[in-house]
Amino acid sequence: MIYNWKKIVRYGLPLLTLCVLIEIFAGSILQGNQNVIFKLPILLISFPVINSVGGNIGSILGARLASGLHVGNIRLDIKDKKMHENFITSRLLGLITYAFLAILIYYLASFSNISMDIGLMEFIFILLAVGLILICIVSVVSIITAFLSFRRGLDPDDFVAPIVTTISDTVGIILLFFIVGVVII
Amino acid sequence: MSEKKKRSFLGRLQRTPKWKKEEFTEIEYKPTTVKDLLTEMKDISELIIDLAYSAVLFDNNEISEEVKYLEVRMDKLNYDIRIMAMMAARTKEDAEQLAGILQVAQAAEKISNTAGDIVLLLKDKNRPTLSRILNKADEKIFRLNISKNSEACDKKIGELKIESETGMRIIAIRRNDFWIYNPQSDAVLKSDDWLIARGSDEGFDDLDKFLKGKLKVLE
Repeated sequence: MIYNWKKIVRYGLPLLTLCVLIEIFAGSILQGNQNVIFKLPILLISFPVINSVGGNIGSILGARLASGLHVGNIRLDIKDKKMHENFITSRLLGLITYAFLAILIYYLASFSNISMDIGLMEFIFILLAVGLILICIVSVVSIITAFLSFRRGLDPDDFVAPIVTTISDTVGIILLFFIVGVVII
Repeated sequence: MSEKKKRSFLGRLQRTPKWKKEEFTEIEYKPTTVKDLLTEMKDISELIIDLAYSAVLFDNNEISEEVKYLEVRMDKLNYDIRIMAMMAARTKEDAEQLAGILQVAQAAEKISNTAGDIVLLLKDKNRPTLSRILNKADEKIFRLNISKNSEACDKKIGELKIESETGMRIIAIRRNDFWIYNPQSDAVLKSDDWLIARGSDEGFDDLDKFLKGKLKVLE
């Protein structure tokens, strides 16, 4: 097989190092906003979920776009119809998942002993707002990375997924704090 | 450097044909989509047939060089399209559809190879090839004139049943200065028309006699 450990390490390590650095930055944002988390512990349950859903949707979109670019039924064009379809599908997917998650997390939290200073509608609104903006940003990132992997002949699985999940983590944390700040204050 | 020297130097460089240069370039990943590659292959397979026949028809070596170049180019494109298809396949549905596309590409490549074989006729010693081959064919092309005392005057082609009786198919009619190409069964024959027809020697004899008025009925 073409893949041996040397090759995997050589291609994987630089990108993963970059991703780790970005993730540390995201973690430090989390640490800097401790007081918000103490006020609303429900956010702690939401972080991993928001980030992973955003990253997954972005990775799926990226892999599909990379395939489409190779075949030629998707062109890198703002007016391209297939591109719009993919965009809308991933946004719809995100909308449904985040709405479902918001309700689930809220009731899970209310069963356990977590102090709740936030209403259900407010919480759903926060998650949906974060989700929609996050998916828009992640989609743009995954389009760019998919195009790059097509131009260079890189494996989209090795390349698109790490970048998109890292960006999704960072942007997700920033967005959640921002929107919580806007809604609560 | 004098003009003559320069020309001889350039001449030596040009002696390596274009197709040979193309053959020795390396195959590597290029970001071209499967769609574009297939379009190009389709275009080449159309063009290469035209060129191959033209090369034999006009007994022209330059056109045959172009055919060889396109044949090599087609081989390259076939490699490229396979590479891109492998990169693109992700699910079993993708793989099924791309397998069909590769089959079409393979067929286009086969067409170009056959066109390359046609061009090999130019290496034959008794040239020009085409007239020799056409003389051996069962069906030939003839020119016939309709005389005044023929029964065919002012009748339709369909009425006379020329094709079913003699096996001759009329390709074109020349009347004075203008031409009727591919006449249908409702086209009317007039005296002193020239017909261009395709068919066997026997059919030609019958039709010629009929059109000259020596035969009254076609049987």
